[in-house]
Amino acid sequence: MSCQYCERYLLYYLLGELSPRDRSRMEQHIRDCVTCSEELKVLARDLTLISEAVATRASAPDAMLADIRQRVAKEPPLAAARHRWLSTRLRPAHAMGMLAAFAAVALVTWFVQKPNISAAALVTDRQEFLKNREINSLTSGTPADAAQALARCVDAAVLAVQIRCDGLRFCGYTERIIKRCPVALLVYGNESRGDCVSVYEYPHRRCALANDLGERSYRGKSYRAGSINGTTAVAWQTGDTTIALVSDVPLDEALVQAEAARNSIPGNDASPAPE
Amino acid sequence: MQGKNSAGHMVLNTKIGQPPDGPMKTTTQEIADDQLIANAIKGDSTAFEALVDRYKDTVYRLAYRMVGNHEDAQDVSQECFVRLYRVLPKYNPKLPFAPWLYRICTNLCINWLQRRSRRIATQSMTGTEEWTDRWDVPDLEPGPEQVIATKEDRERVLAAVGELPLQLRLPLVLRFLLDLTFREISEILGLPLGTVATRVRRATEMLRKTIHAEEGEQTK
Repeated sequence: MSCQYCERYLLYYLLGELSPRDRSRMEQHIRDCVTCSEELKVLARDLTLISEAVATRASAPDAMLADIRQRVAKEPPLAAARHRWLSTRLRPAHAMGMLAAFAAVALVTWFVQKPNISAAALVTDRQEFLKNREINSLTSGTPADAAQALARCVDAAVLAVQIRCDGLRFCGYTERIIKRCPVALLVYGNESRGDCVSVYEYPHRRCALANDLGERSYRGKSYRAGSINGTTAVAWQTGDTTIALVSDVPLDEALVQAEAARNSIPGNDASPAPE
Repeated sequence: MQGKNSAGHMVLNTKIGQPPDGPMKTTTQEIADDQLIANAIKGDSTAFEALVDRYKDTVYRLAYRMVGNHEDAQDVSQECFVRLYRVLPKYNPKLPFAPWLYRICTNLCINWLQRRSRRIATQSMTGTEEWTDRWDVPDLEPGPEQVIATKEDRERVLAAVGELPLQLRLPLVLRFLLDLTFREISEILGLPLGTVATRVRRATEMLRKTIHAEEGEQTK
């Protein structure tokens, strides 16, 4: 045993907290080492002083027992309290437990079960969002405004959002939507940073821009696509707008979804895919 | 003398359940804790009072060392036993009673100290004087190993204990006042054993600095 080890564990030795094996090793070292032996004496003296200082002969005042008796007398009898505890604590506890379990099941269902998003739904969503001035006005709104407006979209289980202009400004909210909605359609205008799509890698929050996505061709159409840790983005250009379908499906499947969406969005440059 | 029954409940001559220098009592003190608790739950008020009587001094001392004055210690102790009364039906007889009671007491002390620190913060008071003024220091007869420990030394150390952060003070007081093992302290505070050991060591190191700083000044 080294002096360093001895010094570290001397306190535990004196407090009787060492195992029998360590204790005997410690004792052997102390017998052989004058320095540690001296340190032991000093520490023992200090501990005695601390122990004496902390010790107190104070005893509870006699009045305390009477006060406790008086206060306890106001409490319901213990035998009754046991039953009352069952009725007032356990039952609500059960109810809350069941509620929590129900909420947990609902949440799991919400996260696990992928909504069946048809291409038509995407169209509707996109059209709604194109009309939605509130979302469009977010360009000049504060992040708090964006949070509120986007939260309403999420609460309404809307799966697509349009964020124009500075997409990066609303990264957090975009991220939140992607998290809650397995599939999100992001439409970016071309005004400032419009030509980008953020794909987030949880939990590290790394993102890739659409510009970083690789060129992919699917059924004769050109896409930019990429995937980070299961979050996939497939983007395509239509007029002056980049549309990206962000989902948590594999890239091949995402391309199929993107193609369906692309074909069904009116005004798209897409033509029916050649078979 | 210390004794525990098979479930670890303290019986008559325990170090924790009895004042170290208090007289031994008979009758209800000979009944184990779990039996007293069972009787109290059935509605036997004398059993609960016997339980209070058995632990009142220990709980009071713990509260006193934590909150630093008799009035508040009395309030905390009272509250501790009233809480005990309320939660007694939830007591698990397979576990030792004393740590469970100390846990109630330490939680109340923590709450009290947190409220107090907020109060002090708003009043811009310094706590040091209050601790040294309020804490009484035992006027012990010096033993063979304690010749050099004067009352002033103990006062100084006690003041340093009062200045320790709560997270260090609590395990230190439980260790040196109630003579509990690290294992027992870890169960009371709900902390890992290693954390308790580290905190006691850190608290001791801080107090030793106080002790030796003063010694250094005296030798100058």
